[in-house]
Amino acid sequence: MTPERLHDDEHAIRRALEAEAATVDVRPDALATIRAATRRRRTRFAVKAWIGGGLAVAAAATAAVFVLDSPRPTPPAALTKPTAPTAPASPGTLEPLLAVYYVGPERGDRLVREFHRITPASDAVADQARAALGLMFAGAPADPDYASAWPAGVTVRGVTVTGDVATVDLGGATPPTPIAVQQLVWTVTAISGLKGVRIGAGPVLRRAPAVDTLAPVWLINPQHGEVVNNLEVHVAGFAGTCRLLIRASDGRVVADEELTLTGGSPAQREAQFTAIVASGVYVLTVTVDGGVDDHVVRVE
Amino acid sequence: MRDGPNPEWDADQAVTHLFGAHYRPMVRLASLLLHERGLAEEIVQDAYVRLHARWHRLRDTDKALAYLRVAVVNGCRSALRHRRVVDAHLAASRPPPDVQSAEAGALDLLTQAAVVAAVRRLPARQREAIVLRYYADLSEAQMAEAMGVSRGAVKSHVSRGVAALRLTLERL
Repeated sequence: MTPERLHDDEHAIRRALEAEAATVDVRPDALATIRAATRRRRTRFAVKAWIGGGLAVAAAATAAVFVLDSPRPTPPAALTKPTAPTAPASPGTLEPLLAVYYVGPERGDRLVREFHRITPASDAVADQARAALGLMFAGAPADPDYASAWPAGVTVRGVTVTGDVATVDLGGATPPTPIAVQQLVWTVTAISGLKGVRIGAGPVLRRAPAVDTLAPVWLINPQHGEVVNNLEVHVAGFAGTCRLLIRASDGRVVADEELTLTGGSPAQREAQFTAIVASGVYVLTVTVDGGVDDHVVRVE
Repeated sequence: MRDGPNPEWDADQAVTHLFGAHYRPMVRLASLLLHERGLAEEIVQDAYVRLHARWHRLRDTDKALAYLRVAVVNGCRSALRHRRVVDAHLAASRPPPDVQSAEAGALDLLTQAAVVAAVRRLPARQREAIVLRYYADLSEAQMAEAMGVSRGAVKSHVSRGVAALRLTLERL
């Protein structure tokens, strides 16, 4: 064994693990869930010394994003409180939250992600895939700058799962563009346990590399139209830094920050920023070289 | 954002900052150990909740991170012990050898899929060692702490794991 050979093998292992890890999304309400659990714990043990950090006050109310009752979503009304805000009872009893990829906001050949709450027919992987695709094909992203790469009218007739591959029956519909293929693949493989997709009797399709597929930057959190208690901004992008601009509804600039994108995956890095702002409507704009995304949110 | 906790923080502040800096990598670490994303995220959330309760005793960057890692590795071990279907799941997740991808770079993706599948087939300690070494980039001392074994055992698990994975790489 030469040192070069060992190095090559280690490099291959490292790359494979990094690429695999990069496919794992986290829930946007994870921090709210943790806070809800620590609050309950604190109440239970009544340890008064811990009370008063100020951070626990807002807690779980930020958790609910969009509550959709059926796989046929109504377009989310802008800046309305979800009808049934849910504070997850524990990490084990979360409302189903599915990732749906769209193209946008500026380019029709790059994907962005939104999380939607929806109740699939069952917990089965096939039903989760069907629910996520129902949302995707319905083409009603929360952010009006996002869109589906698929033409209107495509419906999912059935989903079957064999191993880690989902086979989707689209009644003969075919993807109009390569990015439409990836929109479907990334949406389906965001579901735990799925790695590939087959459309009808076609070949197994897998995720193309993130750097060639995802938008150069996007706002993970808060989502467009969301009502939040704290303005905790979470950004993903491929650059080393991004610029975050927060404007009030009257156009006044509340924050203008250069954020360093770190961590995340080797391909897609992330940054978080918490802004202390008064109640009101804000426009968040995040930019990198070659990319921009903006969301309108209400802080209460 | 700072990289690590400040001893002046209260438990809520510490959890908030450690969440920002380390939550996603921890979930990804757990996913690599478990091959189960939903459960991985629950285990990591549970680790943060435990850290919150423990913060008044830790109050230190390295200790808090080490505590999270131990909690996540132990949580994954425990979940794997209770998951009887794991073998069937692993068998089902092996990549088909002649998958045709619609995208460029398909060969690279297949190599990655084969390596990841091989990592999952490793014995539990070897898998932990490989993931902590090559994904989390931990030192031997940090790995020993996270896994609850000696540094000598860490070395041995890594070298056996790499040797097993090399067999997969040689076949590609």
